[in-house]
Amino acid sequence: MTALRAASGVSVAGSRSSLLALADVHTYIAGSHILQGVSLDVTEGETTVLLGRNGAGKSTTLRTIMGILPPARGSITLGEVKLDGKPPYFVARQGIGFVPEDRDVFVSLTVEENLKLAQRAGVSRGAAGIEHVYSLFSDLRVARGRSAGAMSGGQQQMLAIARAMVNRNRVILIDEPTKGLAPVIVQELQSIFRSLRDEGETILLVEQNLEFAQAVGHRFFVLDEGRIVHGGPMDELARDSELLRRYIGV
Amino acid sequence: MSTFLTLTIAGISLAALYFMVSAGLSLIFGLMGVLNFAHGAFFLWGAYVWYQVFSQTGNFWVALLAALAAGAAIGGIVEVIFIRPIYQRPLSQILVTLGLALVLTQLVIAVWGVNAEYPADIPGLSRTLYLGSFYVPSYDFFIIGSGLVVLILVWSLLRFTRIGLIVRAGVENPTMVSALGINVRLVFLGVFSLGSALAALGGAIYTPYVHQATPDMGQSILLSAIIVVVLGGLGSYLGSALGALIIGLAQNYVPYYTAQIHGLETVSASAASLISLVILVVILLLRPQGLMGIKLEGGL
Amino acid sequence: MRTRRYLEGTRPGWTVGAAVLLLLLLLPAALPVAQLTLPTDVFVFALFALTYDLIFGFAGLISFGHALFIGFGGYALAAAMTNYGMPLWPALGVVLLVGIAVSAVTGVLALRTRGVYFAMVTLAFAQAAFYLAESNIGNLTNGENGLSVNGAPEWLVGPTSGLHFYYVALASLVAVFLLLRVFVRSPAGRVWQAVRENEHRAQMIGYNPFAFKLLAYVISGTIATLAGALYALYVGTVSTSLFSADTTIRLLLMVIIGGTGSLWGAMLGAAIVRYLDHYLTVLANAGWINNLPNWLHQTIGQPLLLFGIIYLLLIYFFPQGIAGLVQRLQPVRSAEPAPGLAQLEAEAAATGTDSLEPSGGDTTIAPVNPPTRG
Repeated sequence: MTALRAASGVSVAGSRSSLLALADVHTYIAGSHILQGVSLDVTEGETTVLLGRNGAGKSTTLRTIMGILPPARGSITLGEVKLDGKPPYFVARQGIGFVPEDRDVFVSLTVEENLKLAQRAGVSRGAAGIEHVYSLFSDLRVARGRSAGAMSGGQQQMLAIARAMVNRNRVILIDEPTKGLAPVIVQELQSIFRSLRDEGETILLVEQNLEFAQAVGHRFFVLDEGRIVHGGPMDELARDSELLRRYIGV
Repeated sequence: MSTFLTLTIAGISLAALYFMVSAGLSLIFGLMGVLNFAHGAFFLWGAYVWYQVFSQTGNFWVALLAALAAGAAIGGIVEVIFIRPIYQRPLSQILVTLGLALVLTQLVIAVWGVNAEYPADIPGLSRTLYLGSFYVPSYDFFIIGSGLVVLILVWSLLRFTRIGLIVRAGVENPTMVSALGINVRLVFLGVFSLGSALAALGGAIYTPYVHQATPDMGQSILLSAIIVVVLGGLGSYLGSALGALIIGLAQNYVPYYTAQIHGLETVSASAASLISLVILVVILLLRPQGLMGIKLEGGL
Repeated sequence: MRTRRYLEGTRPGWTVGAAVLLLLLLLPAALPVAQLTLPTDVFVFALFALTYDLIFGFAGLISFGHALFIGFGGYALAAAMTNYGMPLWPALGVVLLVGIAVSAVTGVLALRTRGVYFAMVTLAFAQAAFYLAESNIGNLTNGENGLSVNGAPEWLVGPTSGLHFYYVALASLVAVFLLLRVFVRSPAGRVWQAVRENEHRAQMIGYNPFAFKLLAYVISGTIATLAGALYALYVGTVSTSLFSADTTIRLLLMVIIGGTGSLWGAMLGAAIVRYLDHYLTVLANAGWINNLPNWLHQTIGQPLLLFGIIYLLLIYFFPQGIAGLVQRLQPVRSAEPAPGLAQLEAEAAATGTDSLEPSGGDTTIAPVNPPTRG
């Protein structure tokens, strides 16, 4: 099994460069050692999937990158810029969009207000960006004046993703978008991810739904008990059932 | 009947005052999770700064502006030096704001002494108006007017501006707001200073109304403000307006009408405070999120 | 023997404690009676502080209304003895009943809230008592003038009463300290600790957090009420200031200086605060004070200002208090049920929400909010 040479700036997958890199990141939550030396890199223009069992530390990894949790050790870099130890707004301003596990849309704001709030000066796609988002997510256009709290889970998930797209982001972190969604919505999400891929977006995706992950991802990493234990191109995953069983419990 | 109307106007006027103090308190709690026990001290400083500037310039409006500015300045300093380092320490926030209340009050005593200060009368605002069959001090209308102006201005700020959007979102989830690239620290500072400025304005407006400034003003207004905010719902701007109205009216109706009931005369003197406290306890037991707050799951 | 195991603690700790006790027992031999007033005052306040440490330090309840019990104790005694002419011991019986009743009633109401809300409700209760006392409700309290305590037995008010009071106060303090110490380290006390640390988990195991918190609250409140009566007996009068926020601030200062949750720390804190109170007053009247720069003069002249500043400094730089410092100096400690302020903080943060919330570090800015809405 090929172990991945992480954080060296050299991607295993080929000529594309590594955009976001984590090197030996440790994170504690209330005394528990959750991330025990995570090293991975996200290739530009690709969708990298982070897999693993419940409790392995996948969400924690995204939140650490985002600055919501401070890393105790290790480094996180976006290109040349050091991200570790910085507050979330700094990380976001470097061009990292975040779609959290609980979606965290603002329920007391309307759909449109949620999108407008997300727009960042300088990198915003402006009114065109919002239009583009509405063209991808027609449900949102219909509900634009309605409070985000009145929408279904699937619609809120759309909004959360849409929110990350109103700016020109360099990387988008997405945490379990298919969780709790009906299969038909998951299908919709899949096509959205495909159009994101076509637009060359760089995505780090945490996902439990293996089928979804395989459909949208280029590469994968497996996180087990706070460490990266494996990584490679996505098609390798289908071939290796031993891997699937051991680390993902399938 | 005319007594009822007089009481009602007085009640709405008191409500306007409570609103000015409570609106900031509510937003600060909603946004930052800090129940600012020092909020009453901002009111106090507003009162004394108003008194000082008025005594020296004789200009009511200049003194008001000075109080507003002083409130904003003190609030800003307090936020940066004392509140910011303990964002992550909720227990300390409670303890620290109480300590700040004490220190700020003691500083007032240090500067002005422990006795009351009596401002000169203000021509034009001390008149009594005769409306039909009842009398109302004209100053009541000024207070109500000011309250309405503040209500509308801040509401417009929240509703129509980007900063208002940020605050509304921040009341819900400041972490996510930060994850959108917005420097919530600055927003916290802004809201805190706005809240303290409004409280100071309240103090400045209240002082000529009661013709005195005393060091214990901070403590008594704080309790009422807390009750108003809890009643209205912590974090709800309009909730604090509603809560202020209920408490303001109750504090005027209850003492008068209980004094009419035989046997309750001695209680009526403190009835104003007691009724608010009863309301607080009842609300916390039955509907802790207040009238317009969103259901909380407990904890701090 | 079980009791000895519950007393626990370290050998040096008990040795120091015994030595101090011996010293205190012998002190009256060395000092004139007039100079015993300050130590006696300290003993009574140490008693207050112990009861406060119980709910704040051990049970983790942020009470801003502890003055309620002290005031009730004082007024109940004064009313019983002065207004109704009761002799001392029946009056104390009344005080005991009042203490249990007030703490039970306010506890049942207040404990339905937590955290900041609990602080608000307890503050509200204390303020309510203040206003009620001030308004002379039921003609019991004599309003602003306060009440005197009449009819105390000769040995407590006569010429040698100073000496007697000294020993009564000291004995009460030692008794309560030992009582609380044993209680805290007993199995029941350890359940308290579990409930405080993680209410949710404790509930899963089958404990009733509300019942435990109420028990702590009632014990603390009842003893504080009795201590308030003791204070009233000692001073001879009661006034509305017993209910004031000044009292609460002093109590907070005492447990924070001493270190929350260590019992002996609270007593030490009480000693420090009362001595400061006393000597600042003396200092303020000294002639040479006027030669100091104005701000310094002002600060010394206002003990509360100084207390407030010290209090704030402590919270930022020494939240563990003296007990915390001592704890860090000792290499090995047995399972310590007494938390410092920082630990209470962490526990409070942990129980704030179910989801993973940010912890520690200056770089993250999200405060521990009331949990996500909706």
